[in-house]
Amino acid sequence: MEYIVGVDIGGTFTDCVAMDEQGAVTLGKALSTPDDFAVGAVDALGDAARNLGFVGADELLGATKFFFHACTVADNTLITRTGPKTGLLTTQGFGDTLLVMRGRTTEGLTESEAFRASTQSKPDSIIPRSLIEEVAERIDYKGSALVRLEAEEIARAVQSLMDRGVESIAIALLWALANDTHERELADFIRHHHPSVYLSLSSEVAPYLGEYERTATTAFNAYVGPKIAAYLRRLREVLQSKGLRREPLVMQAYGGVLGIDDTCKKAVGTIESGPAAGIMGSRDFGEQLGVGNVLATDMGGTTFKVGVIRDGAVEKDHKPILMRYQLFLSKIWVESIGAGGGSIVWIDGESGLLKVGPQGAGSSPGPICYGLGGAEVTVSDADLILGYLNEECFLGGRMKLAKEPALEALKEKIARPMNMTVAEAASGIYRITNSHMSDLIRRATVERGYDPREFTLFAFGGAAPVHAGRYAAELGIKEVVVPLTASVHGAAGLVGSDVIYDYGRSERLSVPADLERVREIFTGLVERALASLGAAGFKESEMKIVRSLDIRYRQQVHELNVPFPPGISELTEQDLETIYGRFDEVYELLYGAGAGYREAGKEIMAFRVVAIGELHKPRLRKYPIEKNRAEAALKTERKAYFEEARDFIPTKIYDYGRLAPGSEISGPAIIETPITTIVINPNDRATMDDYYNIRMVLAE
Amino acid sequence: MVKHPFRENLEVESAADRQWLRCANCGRRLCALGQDWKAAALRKVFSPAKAGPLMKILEGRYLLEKIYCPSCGVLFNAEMIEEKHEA
Amino acid sequence: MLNGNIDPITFEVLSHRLHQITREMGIALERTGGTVTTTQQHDYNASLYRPDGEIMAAGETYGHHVVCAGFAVKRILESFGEEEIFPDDIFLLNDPYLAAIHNPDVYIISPIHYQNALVGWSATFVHVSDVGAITPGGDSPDATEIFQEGFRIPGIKLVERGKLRKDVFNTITHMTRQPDAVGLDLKCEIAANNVAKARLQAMYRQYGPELMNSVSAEMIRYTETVLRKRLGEIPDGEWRETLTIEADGPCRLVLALRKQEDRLIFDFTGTDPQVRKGINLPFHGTFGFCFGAILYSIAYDLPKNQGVLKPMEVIAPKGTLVHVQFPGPISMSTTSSGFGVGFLASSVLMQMIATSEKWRKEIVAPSASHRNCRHSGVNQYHRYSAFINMAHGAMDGNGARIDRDGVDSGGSYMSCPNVEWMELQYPLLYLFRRHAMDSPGAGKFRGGVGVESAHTLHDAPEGKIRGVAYGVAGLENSGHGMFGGYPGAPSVMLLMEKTKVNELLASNKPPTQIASLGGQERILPYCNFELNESDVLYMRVASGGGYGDPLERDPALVQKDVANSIVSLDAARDIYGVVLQEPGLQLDLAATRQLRTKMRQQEIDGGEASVP
Repeated sequence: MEYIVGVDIGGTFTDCVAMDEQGAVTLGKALSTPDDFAVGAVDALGDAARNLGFVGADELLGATKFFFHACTVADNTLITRTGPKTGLLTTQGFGDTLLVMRGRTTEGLTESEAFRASTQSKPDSIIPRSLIEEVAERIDYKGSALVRLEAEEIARAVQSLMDRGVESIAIALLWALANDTHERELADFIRHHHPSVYLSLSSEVAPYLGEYERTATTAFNAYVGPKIAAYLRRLREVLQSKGLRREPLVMQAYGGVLGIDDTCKKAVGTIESGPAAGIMGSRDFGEQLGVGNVLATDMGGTTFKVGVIRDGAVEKDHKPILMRYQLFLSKIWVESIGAGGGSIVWIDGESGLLKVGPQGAGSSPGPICYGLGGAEVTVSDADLILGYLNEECFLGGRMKLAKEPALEALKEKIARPMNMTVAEAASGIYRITNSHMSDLIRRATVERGYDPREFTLFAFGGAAPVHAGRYAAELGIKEVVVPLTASVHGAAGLVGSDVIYDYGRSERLSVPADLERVREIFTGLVERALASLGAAGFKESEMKIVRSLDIRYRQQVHELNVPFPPGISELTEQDLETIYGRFDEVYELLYGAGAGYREAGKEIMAFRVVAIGELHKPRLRKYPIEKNRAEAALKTERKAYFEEARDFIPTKIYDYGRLAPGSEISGPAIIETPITTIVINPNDRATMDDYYNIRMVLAE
Repeated sequence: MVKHPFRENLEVESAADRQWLRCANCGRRLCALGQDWKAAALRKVFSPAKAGPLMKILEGRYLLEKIYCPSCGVLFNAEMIEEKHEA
Repeated sequence: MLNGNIDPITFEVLSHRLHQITREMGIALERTGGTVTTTQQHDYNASLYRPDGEIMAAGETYGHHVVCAGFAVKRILESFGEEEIFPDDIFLLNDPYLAAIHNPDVYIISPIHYQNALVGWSATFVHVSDVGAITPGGDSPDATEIFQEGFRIPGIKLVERGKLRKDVFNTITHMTRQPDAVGLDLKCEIAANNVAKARLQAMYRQYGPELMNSVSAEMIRYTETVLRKRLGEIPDGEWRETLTIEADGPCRLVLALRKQEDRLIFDFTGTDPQVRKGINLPFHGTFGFCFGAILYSIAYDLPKNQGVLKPMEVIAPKGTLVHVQFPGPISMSTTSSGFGVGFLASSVLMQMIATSEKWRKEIVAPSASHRNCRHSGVNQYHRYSAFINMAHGAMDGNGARIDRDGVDSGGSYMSCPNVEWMELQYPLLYLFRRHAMDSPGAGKFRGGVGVESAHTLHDAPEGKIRGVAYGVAGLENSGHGMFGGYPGAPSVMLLMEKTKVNELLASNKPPTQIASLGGQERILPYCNFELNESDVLYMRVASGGGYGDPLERDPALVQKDVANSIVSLDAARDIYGVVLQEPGLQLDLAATRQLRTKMRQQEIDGGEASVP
């Protein structure tokens, strides 16, 4: 028996999923070990191995066909600013580009914060000004060298940085996307004289128009590169010493995996790979359930995240904002807000209005009911008081919750000052929280021209299933799915991975574009893609290539990405005409009929190629269904609050572990699982499907 | 002796009958609230270049006026004023 | 604080959602807009209004346009009457003598109906590419009357019951130098308004007209109540500020703010008479800029609506720079007297909140904005553009705060295009674009550093392009210091003619130092000008004013400023009294303390501190 194994290292936990040849899934979990992440990975593997009946990790690794991996090393390095001393070589006269940041830094701020001049800020530069060295050279928009880079200048600039003790160097020159000669000359010199320095070239990492984003991406890459490289090489060593015979494959921000050496060339691509894996998992999962439109929501202790899958395609962002910098990076679009079980509830001193978040109590001290010293009322405290959470049996019995202190705090800090009953206060907190979630989801869908009612909602993370029934209902969504693998959906997503290479470059062509030139540019990108997939061991029949164009109306800034049908057949004039028409259609879909001013003309701005090497994975295993009324799983009954009754009413409590495929439960009811609680509202119905997922159908 | 701030280093002191402006650093009373506190303070003027090398362009048209507490020398204000208004 | 019959949770949820609609409108404008000002500089506004034109939810950008678009709604109601306003109509207005502030800021106003009743309005503005004025792009320094400043529409129906009126659309775009671009601008505004209409109607469907109407009325009442309460808590007083703008002679703006309990009276009496140059501001513009200043100071966290206007009064004598009379020119109003009024209003409000223990933490040193310029001409692809905008406004250094430095180079909602983006479509070559060392106003907390840049022609088929110089001219622009902080360096625009830039490039030397360029330089007043081959245009935007005494600045921060090339070694010593030893910029604390004591003593004793 061979296994497909996924290991996802998160901030707190390391998760492992092992899928066998019949599609049966076994889980493993361990605490993450930030001092040496590989240790936690082996622990989680060991947990899964033992759940499979093995003695330890070695046996599982020895039987592993594919090993997929997602980790937070890059994210961690950026958040804690523990990267190596990194320098930047850039064009003379433009050394402040990374610090000027093109001005705008109000992204992601709330309405109040955006207006509050007294607290505005910019992030501390990822590379300090004192480690930015300007180089006497200048290339223009045509790629002509107006000021040629001379040998003495190369030596001087590099020595200047080396004298300051840098271990990693980013090179980002103006117009390197049109002519990369100067960047390569600098790189060659550094490789020759200082071979241990990690190098990151903008013409390789992000060959797109726009020096700020390109420099930022290159700088981020240089900053996280060395640590990623060291970590992945160590991981490979440890796993192979324990029996893994294959090359570990690493999840990228855009949802595909790459081998370790390819990953190290563009380490910044591993940013947010865990959430990427989760969304890819939702997509595969949706496919297996026959659902093409999915809203993947994840609510934990501090953050609420949403990703969008439309017609089986995952929404991507080619210019994501990360840590307040805008980058050129293909990334799965995940939007998040500070809203989770630990979000703090407070009363605004002046307005007297009830507010939830964005400050959170984290996991320590955490909600009051955790008993770890938390003193602020949180969303989880309200959930407990509302009767949704079980004091005695939280997290499968691993934790007990203390209701009394939470209740006292709610009465004193919230209910009494607001002149509300306990029920009114707790349910008000619940409603506000849910409206924040639904607002975020509404933004995610509606801004793209999608109607949320056409989507199925997946609920992951410890807190989502407690709230999902409501925030989905607010959007008119009809079905909510809580998957079996909800607690480890990052790792679960990994096992469904394909190897994906993502290439692109900026090139501006007026529409109608010269067919020969279009073919030429795509040929270059496709050849690279085919070579990469070939080197990774794929046969032509296992390769899928998707070409696409970024197009905009002339005079506009924003581009839309429009794909060709998959394949590498030679493009015809008709193919281009179809794409141009498709752009007009998508544009109108987003902005309304008549919004596009076609007379202004169009331009192609960039060419992209996504090359997929499909890995053969078994389908998730189905289990036989037997309709039943779930009595066997009924644990107890307790009072819980529901808006329909405006009161606490007797509610049936079920044990997930004793449900079987086919079980049917009508709301009001609560299902308790080892990692979460599923609240089924009155008039809603839940069933366990043939994959052990809980599917809730919401009332009209 | 109710007081509230007026600006950095200056505060308003409310005595029984009137309100006074005084130095928040040393307590020196300058004048009654509503009167010209700048006239009651220590006032100096300098060449604009004192405010920085890029201020040379203001020379001949403006002066840098600095206003201090007459007792403890703490700085109350620094401002460019038109030179023609200087006696 | 809320009216008894509205559930506070519902109020919270719905008021937040109304604000979200304005955000979505803004995103639609950015995505579909045609000019850099719209798509990158966020020079637009998108807001929602009640049926009578009162502000329901203000968009996040310029406050002054929120107010003026509200006036525009009222004018449309007056001209057309409710009987002539049908569902899915859309109106256009850009007359500065009625509601707009200058012709290029074109308002698109859309009534929103639900079940055939008028339930609200949405309105947007963008700065369109051209309006057919004597100078391309709209800002016309040579105009002496409004008649020379482009098409001026008092209110016209652009879309009739959902159908675009092609005759109106074509007539308007036809009057401009760039019908395509202006067409795109108008269409993007229509798109944004359609977004607002769909969302608001959906909310009415979901929650019902009764609840929605009560919530929007309550939002206004609530904001007014809280704002009045805040004002009541601040001591009464009077605060003043003046600003002189150079336009063929000094033009003086004067403001006295009087706070009487919960009323704010902005009195501009004493302001100079209007001039025959387009820097004059219409009254509603003056009103709007005062509103903007309040929004960003003591109302930042309140639902932004008509309630903010209720405690305000504005006194602006007719025929002055801040209350222009017909047919005075106004094409450059927003960026000159407009920002001037914004500065005055901010300054007096900051002085006001300095008297409140509770509010003083919101102090930010105010800025009197910057010089700016725009080009027009034929690019390297032989295509004409009336509106080549470098959008440097996004890179001003912001004012220092009471407890921290000002944000460097921007940090607001505006953004500036990449140099590469500009060079790709315009016949320009940037020589540099960087932080202007020593530009921030010194202080215990320094102002944010501003940006300086220079460019020359590159591959210009006609060997030249035209430019127009506007903004706040004179030496009183840029950041003003507070309470001991020094002002930021003035914002300047310098035209250097017949420089050595091409020779330098030919000898393989990067032309990145102004001093090495030679040529004839002149500071540009409000004017049209030409950029010819071998000319260089140098610009430095505004830099933030400092807060508090420079001699009290933490020496470690000064050391960091020098390491980051924001403050020079000389300025570190001469202004801050900080002694740094090379190599390595070692901080000598003892020497610093000594030097600072000496410097203060010498100032007070009447002499200058000696400069070694």
